[in-house]
Amino acid sequence: MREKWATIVVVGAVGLGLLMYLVVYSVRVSEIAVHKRFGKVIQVVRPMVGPEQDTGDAQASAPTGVTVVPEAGWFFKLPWPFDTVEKYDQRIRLVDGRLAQIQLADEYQLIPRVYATWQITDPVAFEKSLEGDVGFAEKGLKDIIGNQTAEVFGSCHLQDVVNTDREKLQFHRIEERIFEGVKASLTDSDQAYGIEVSSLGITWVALPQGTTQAVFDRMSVERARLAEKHRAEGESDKETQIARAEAARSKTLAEAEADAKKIRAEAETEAAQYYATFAQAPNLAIFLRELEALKKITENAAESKEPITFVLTTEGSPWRVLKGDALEEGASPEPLEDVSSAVGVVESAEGE
Amino acid sequence: MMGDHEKHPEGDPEYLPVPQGDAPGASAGGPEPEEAGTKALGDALKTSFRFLKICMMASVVIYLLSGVFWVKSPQLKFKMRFGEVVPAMSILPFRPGRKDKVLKPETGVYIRWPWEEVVVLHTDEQTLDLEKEFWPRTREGTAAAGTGLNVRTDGYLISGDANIVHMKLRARYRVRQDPLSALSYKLRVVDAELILRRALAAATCEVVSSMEVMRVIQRENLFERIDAALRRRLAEFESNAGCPLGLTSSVWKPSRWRT
Repeated sequence: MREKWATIVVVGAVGLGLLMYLVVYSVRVSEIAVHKRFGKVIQVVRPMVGPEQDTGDAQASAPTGVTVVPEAGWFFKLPWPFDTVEKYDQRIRLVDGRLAQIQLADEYQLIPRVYATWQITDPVAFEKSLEGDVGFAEKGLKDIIGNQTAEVFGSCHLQDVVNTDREKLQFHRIEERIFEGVKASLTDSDQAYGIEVSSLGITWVALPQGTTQAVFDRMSVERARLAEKHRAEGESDKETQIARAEAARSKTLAEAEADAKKIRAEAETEAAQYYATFAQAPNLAIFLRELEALKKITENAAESKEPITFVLTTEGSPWRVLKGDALEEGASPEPLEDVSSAVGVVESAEGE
Repeated sequence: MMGDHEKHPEGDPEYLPVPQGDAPGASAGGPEPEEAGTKALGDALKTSFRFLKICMMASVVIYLLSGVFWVKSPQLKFKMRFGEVVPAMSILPFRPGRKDKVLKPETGVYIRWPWEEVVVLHTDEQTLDLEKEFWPRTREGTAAAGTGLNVRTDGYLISGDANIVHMKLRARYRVRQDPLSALSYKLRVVDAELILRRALAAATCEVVSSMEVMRVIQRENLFERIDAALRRRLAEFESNAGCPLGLTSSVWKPSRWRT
């Protein structure tokens, strides 16, 4: 009995799976499906993602009398041959236009390359007019883009396509005109294509091969002229700079010379005053200068935190006791003299 | 009868050999051969069925376990049931506005084909190089050759003062992590990178066509302007298509340029 139930469950599951396969179909978010009964469209499944899902765009773009389901998932159908379901990829895809040489209104020749993004929005019309063939649709779209590009560029001047004045540049406007033209061609024609263009742009504007060489030649001449101009400007600038530097140098030298004379005169005046004072007591002046020098030496040593080493003669008091023959001579040590006396001795010794 | 059989050799046309199993008294003293064979066959079948049952159960377990998935940090994953996006651990279908549209880094389970599938998105930064669009096929394909540029093979840009400039450009991009953009990138666009490439080329062409060649060479606000033009184009795409491209991008300086 247990085996029988297992068999029943397995057979039932297989049967149910087969039945589901016959009467159920699923539509992915990326797909769009047409549900037909005896060849007549009864339902379109067009899943949407995002804000468009709530706006009712799907129903608005649907053929009359056809229910549009804006959600992905699984749906019931009658088994073949009653019902059939056709699915298409509704994702946005890209198509590149053909390269074609176009004559502008001012007789210049340009070769623009245009791209567009498009998607299937009405699977019924897509099936009817383009046989549900994406390749066929792209071919037709390329023709439409090519025609619109030629028409729009044919009414433009080169200055509209390339221009350093942004106010006069019509590059984006040209793109918009082609885009509008392509959209109009897809919707205004007698037979709807069921596809929609969502963006369009010019990825490249090329020149005929011979023209590029002419441009190169012109650029070469322009560059040479520009280089010559810069060179001349450089030379002129160089002369100006040299003259300016010379003038500045002369001025600076003259000012320095005047300053030197003035300082020298002031110094001489000041020196004359010192000389007059020195002349009154020369030894005192020298003594004061030496005191000043000693003070500066000790200050410098204190600042640099270095010890001062004095080298003194043993001929003077009291350092003569350091000599070996001091006692032999019976000389009694002389009383210590004050600094001024010692300096006086040194000075007199130096004088000798 | 037995006696007749013994009397008539095999050459006798009426002689019919009796099968040993059918011979009366053949099973005497042990199990009958038929029962033993049936029993052996039954045992073999039971073993086979047991083995088959174990294999099937193992297959079911492997099938179910293989539906466990992890969402690593630089990834986004969507679980789809019959083509519709559903939350990771819920049986309810996805509806706009729900916070669990995009699966966070976590563990989830799904029942493999034909019921459910998991779509993986890599959100780490990637680069897009415009290598050939505005660059000559060979270095000789320039003014030096004296033959001009072939529109089929050599790329270049025309500046606002009608000069020719070659350029290579690089953009960085990554998949946006907001649910709508991520869904759109994966499920609403066939090749988002290709569209981004074309939009970048168009933005570059537009910007360079408004600049003097020397300004292009000196890169005066060049990348900022290309970046702005690219953003404007992507915004226009989003507005017209009703869904975002799902990518965020920024333009790098050109690796090489030449006039």
